[in-house]
Amino acid sequence: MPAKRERVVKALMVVVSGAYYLMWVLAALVVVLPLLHLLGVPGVHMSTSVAVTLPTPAATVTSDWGNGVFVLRDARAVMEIPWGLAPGWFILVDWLRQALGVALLLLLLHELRGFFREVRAGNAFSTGNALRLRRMGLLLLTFFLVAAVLGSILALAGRLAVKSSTVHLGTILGGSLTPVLVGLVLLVLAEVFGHGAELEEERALVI
Amino acid sequence: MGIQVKLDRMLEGRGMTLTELSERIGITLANLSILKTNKARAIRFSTLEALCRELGCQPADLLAYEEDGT
Repeated sequence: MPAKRERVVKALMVVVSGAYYLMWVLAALVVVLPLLHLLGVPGVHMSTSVAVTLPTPAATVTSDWGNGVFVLRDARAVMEIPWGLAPGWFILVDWLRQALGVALLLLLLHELRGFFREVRAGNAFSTGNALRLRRMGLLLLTFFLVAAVLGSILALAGRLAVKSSTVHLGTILGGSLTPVLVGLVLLVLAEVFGHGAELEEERALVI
Repeated sequence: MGIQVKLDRMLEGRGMTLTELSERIGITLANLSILKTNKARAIRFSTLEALCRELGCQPADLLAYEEDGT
């Protein structure tokens, strides 16, 4: 591998490995903090964050760019629901969402590390890497499903639990489509790398 | 059967080992083994040239076409 590409791959590997070890720390927090909360350890307060919409504030925004106004719309806020108030099933769903999210991202980073390891060994186009890309794509699609479904359950439940509010709150369901797009790109790349692996195998048998 | 590489016959005739040939033409022993056992998908002209040079033969001496079943 040329020296410059080797340096780039090495740098990427360091970043991915750093993210991987950080994710393990997050995983430990996801396990430990809820336990500490349930045990009533002082200073540990868990809550679920639910995104809500707010009424458009009555405000006029002018600018230096002309006589027109900037329009304010789609005001949002994060509603913090303390676990101390929430029912048991709500806490369980939130914990499951966090745990599954972290687990999926941990697996994704593990696969990415394996991918870079093979690239550094000079085997970029291998069947192993094609399979890794496919698994990463599927993991991201699963991550989106978990985040969207469980997040929506929490958002709806939290919103329905509101008895009264000084402002009208709207519910935000679903989730970001970014994991879906990236997941699909990875699935396509998996096919490309699979074809590359076949070509590489063919090339290796050209003496 | 297809194209057969008669490398072992040529080496025997010249009293040369595969290892010696590998060192002379700069192709790894593993790759020469792939060639010798007819597992290769293709051969480069440069490889064919190097083999003919070291073994003192023509390409036709190294390559033969055999139909399936012969």
